[in-house]
Amino acid sequence: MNVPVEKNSSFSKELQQTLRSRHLLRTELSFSDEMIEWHIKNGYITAENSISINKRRYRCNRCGQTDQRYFSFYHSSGKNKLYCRSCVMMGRVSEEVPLYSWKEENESNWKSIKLTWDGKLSSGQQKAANVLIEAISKKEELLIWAVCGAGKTEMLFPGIESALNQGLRVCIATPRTDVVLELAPRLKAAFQGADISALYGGSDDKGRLSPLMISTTHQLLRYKDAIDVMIIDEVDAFPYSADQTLQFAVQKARKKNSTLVYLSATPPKELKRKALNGQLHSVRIPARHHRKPLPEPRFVWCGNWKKKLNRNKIPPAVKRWIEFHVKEGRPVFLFVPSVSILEKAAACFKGVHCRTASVHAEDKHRKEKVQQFRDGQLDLLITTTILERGVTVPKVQTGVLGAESSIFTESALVQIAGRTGRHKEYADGDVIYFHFGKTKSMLDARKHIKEMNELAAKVECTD
Amino acid sequence: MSNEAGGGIHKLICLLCDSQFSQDVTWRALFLLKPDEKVCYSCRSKLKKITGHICPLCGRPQSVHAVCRDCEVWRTRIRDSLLLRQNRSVYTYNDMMKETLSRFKFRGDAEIINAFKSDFSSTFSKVYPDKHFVLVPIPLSKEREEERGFNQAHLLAECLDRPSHHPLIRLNNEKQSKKKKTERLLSECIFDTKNNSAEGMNIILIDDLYTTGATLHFAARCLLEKGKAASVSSFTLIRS
Repeated sequence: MNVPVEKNSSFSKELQQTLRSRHLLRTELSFSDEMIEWHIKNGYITAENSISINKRRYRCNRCGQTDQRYFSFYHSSGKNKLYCRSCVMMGRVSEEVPLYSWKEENESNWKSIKLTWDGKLSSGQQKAANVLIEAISKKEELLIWAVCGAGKTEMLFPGIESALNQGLRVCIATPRTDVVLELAPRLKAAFQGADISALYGGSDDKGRLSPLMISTTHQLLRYKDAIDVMIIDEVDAFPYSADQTLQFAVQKARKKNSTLVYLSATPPKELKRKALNGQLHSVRIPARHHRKPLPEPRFVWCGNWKKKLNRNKIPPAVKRWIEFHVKEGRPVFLFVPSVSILEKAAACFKGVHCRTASVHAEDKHRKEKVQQFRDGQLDLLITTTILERGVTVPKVQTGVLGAESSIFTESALVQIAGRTGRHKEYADGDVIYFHFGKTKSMLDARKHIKEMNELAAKVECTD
Repeated sequence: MSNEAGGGIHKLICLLCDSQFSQDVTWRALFLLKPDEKVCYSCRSKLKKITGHICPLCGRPQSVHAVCRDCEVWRTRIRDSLLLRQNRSVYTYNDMMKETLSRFKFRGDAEIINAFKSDFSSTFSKVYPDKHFVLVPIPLSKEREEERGFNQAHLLAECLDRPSHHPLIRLNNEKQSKKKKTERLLSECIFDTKNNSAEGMNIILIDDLYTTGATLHFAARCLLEKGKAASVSSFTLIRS
């Protein structure tokens, strides 16, 4: 860098530590004004406008928001000041308040890291792992399209190990805090002794920079040009696919010359299209690690279930199905379209003889209830789409009530079907879409799963 | 501006939870006579207004209509002629409100004032129907106001569409919310005013939160004692 040599002795190591590869506001820096001024004057720090204005359209340079509804004013010392409401919870970005970053390239100097995981990858996982290592060395984009229960996390291990040993910073980004909390201990166990930070709103590691980072996409807003290997888990999951600013966060946090890996069981259309016509390198793992085919969903018509619930009745087909499995000692997952229906359904199940709980996004006891379900203390868990991903319970049977609702998109239905049969000893099980009229999403979801099974049989990934 | 395809006549974004909601289509709404709702139904229902019995002095929601213990203590500490006459508030301080207020004040999201505006002004005209009152928003210290960029009490006073006066000067600059209850009750000298600055006025102090009442009681005392105000009451957004 073009920093004069004689000044090298006087820059602040501490400030460098705090600002390197970051993108921070003045309020996030606990240093004196003089110190920051001095570093700007001597070319160590850049200060850029936090909101840019182009033809009367505003853009927040921290979160990338361009929807004008998110920009508002506060009145301060006789002037209206513009600020961004989209990321205000991370500290207010307003005009005249710059965003600071350290100019110098960051050098990586961490010790070599050994994979301490002693599991074995299936042939499908191994294939993906090899492709990933290649993508890392070539700094390419890659889509790993792996079915639910393929063992996505494990297949990342060899790639992460190789990247870390090349001095590359790796980040696994996911839209959900739940996933960060689930992944962090697994990675810490797999890479014992490595410096790993888990970043989510309220975590102790917030704002840290380490060789391996597991982060919610939101927390990435604090970084800039930091990541060499960016792995986006559940790329299609809400809210990443919905929220433009989170995509901006990912692009900003990764280096210009870096690897970008998308990981999903149900990639969004655009990625699928790119993968199919060769614009995006991709690898498909059509089978689960236990080499059994995916359970295919069945459609069961259950009449006007809304009306029945309003009359405090469970549709008989649903009731019979649940009672059958509960009697056999198999836990049942029942997905419903909304919180209000969840409450109604939970009330209806009060009369049925099984241990029932319901859980939704804002439930304070969400963690405990899910844990009880995992431990086998509950027979039936009624839930909204929040548990469509990541939850693994052996022997579980899955039903969707009101599968025709618009919230159950193809990818949601495929993910939900992916809850069943994840354990190798109970690889089979029911997936039932209870409906009052089939939708295209339901048909597409079933087709998707069938295709994956056919592909798996063809390439002999299943027994 | 809508980035969703299709949609009804009137799609709005909730100020608090960012989700999309729609407003009932009525003739008034259609002819733009009614301002747009700012908050969705679900968030609105989580902001609880104070109803039912309250303490006649501080406006605290409680099960009986009687002076509460805290107010009894205030009565013994300050002479009747220098006492805040009464306080009234709009909302209770529940979790939703805590979250919203912290976003508004500490994160500095000034736009959130629009979520409170209509409730704040309609409750005000219900409890203080007289027009001869003078509004005095509680000032912030200079440092605090610079950091935040605005004074939430000013924004609240602006909602009421009446002229306001600024006779009070804030002396120390610590945040009240960072102090313990006893500390707050002890720090009497937080305001000053010029002699006779409010002579003969009937004042209503405006603030965001009534917690122990210390801020408002000391402001009242200052205005009555030194400013020679005729009476001082208060109106806050929240009674915790």
